Amino acid sequence: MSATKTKNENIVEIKNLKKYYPITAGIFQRVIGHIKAVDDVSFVIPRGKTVGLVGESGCGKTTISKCILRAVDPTSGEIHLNTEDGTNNVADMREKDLRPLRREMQMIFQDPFSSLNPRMNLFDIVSEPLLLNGIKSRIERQDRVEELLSKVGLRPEYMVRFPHAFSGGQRQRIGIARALALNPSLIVCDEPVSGLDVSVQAQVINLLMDLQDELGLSYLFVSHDLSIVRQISDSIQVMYLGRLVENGTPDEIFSSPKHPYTEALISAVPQADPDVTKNHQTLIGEIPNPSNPPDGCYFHPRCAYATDECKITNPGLTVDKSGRSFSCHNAKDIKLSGLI
Amino acid sequence: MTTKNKLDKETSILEVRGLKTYFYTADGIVRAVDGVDLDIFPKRTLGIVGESGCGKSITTKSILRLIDHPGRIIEGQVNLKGDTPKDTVDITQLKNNGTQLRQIRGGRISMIFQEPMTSFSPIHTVGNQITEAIRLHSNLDKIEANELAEDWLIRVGMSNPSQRLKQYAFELSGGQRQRAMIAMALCTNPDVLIADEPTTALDVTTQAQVLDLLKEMQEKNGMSIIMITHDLGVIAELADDVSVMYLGKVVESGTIRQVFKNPKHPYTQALLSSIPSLATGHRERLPILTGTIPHPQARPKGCPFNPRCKDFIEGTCEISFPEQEIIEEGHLVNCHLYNK
Repeated sequence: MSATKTKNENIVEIKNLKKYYPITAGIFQRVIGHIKAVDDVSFVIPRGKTVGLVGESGCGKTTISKCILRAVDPTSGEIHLNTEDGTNNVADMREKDLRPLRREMQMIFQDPFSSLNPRMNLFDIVSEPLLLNGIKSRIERQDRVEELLSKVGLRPEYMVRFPHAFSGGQRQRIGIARALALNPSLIVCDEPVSGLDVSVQAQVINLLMDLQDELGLSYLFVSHDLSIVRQISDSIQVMYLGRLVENGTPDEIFSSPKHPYTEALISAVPQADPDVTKNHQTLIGEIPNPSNPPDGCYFHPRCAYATDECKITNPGLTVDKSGRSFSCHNAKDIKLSGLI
Repeated sequence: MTTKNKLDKETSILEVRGLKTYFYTADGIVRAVDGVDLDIFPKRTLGIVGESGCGKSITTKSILRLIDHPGRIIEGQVNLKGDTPKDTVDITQLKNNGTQLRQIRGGRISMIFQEPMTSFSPIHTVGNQITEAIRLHSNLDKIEANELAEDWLIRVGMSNPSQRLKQYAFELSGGQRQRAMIAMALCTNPDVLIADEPTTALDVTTQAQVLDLLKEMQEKNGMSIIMITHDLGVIAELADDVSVMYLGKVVESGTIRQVFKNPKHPYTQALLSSIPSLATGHRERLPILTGTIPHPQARPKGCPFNPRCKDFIEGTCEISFPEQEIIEEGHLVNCHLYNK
């Protein structure tokens, strides 16, 4: 594969991304350690596809999405954003140069209640990105807002209303309309449906899939809900304590997980079927403190298959023949059960 | 399972009959709970499902008389059974904040909440709050109560219990807080535990731990659980019986197998089909429930579900609320489709 070809295929390429937060102490704020929120993560988001990022809270999912959008500055590593105008390393750009690129990447937030300004009406909310990016004519903006609202399934008459008049699902649609305003190529969805009712969840997921087909969007879909990630993603990255532990297509991940953490995550998902045997292998304990991670494989204190080797050395990612990577010393020796 | 199905109404520990809780707001009357019947049997779990705004939480709050102005219980009975039929008390008839009511709250009926952070006092230690509950409902002195509290923390699987008693809620992680909450609710040996979305704010892995804990506690202490959630997976995992609520009314009830395997009401059918299970195909569109819950002041006439129903029968559904029909023993549904 030539270098130019990969450029066209992937919208985002992340290489060795690290984000460390310093821990300080004393009156001089001396740095005494680091919280490794994201520790050496590499993956790509193919154009027009959805990459699911799963893991428990505190594993660094949101930090990665914030780094991609440069809402936080990464400590090191590269984030290449491939647009029609060429490739830019977002991780290493000055704020001024970054501005024109910001319209290419947008975000949808988890909480539709706190992510919409209660004192702005729908027109103001959805047209704000247009105004900030130089579309000054009110008529032009009005047309665009109308188009966007009907695209996400809201009536254009709603434009004059305020967010409090809408239900959770409708507010999430408003958030989606705002994200779409500037024709982005990448949308980072940070737990977009976790606060919603099941019936509304389905509506929003269907809408996201329809918009992707229609507009050729690429999604980074961050969630801890595995059944939704499986539904929407083309590939899945599983994260634990700032590191990627496994990736693969949804079928690969769910039918034959290669990492004990993935297996535990899958078995923890409650199934809406009273006949499914309910023996989840409950993970013991909680996610360790990222400022003081365990030695060796980060997962070993909670792992049912841990051996002595796991306590000493970190396995690193191994790539198998089919291109799946996973980070486990015992992947060959243990048999993990997936869903089927 | 088959013997359990043969439960008659006589054996229930708590029965709710024709409960109506209305809110008298400036804009008009909101019929939050509009004639609800429930039966809670000893050592069994009743799941209440429905979208937000359907009255699930208000129903359980009414059971404990925790309804604030402008809400009022205007009709119905909540009968908490004693050892003999004449020990039965109707909670709705008890004196406001009288001794009897205070003894039931936290004594015979306990409650755990969705967000354990806000339901613990931030200025008292966890130990303080658990011993307070114990001492309110027993004659133990401080030292004995403290020992019992420590004992309960061990039972709910907290590490380092004596240390935990001295900590504040903010020092604990989400899962630990929920464990402490469960310990606080169970330390008075209640007959009924009301769990209002106890795992919604938790990670799947922690959720699995909390569900396992609730099951284990039920086996050991023999209490009944009322479980409110919109997560049908959690219901399938924990509940023995289910009541499906829509706009303040129970529209279908039965054992978990009857309702989930053979849903009769179009609303139950729609809810069950709108969740992506781990078995749903990749990028398959989810069948959705059209529309949203109507405005509380604009409840539809007749069957409340009629504007969203796929099996709408003109001339019937918008006229009257359907009579209860018995599908088979224990499986009840309110739908005109089954009225002869």
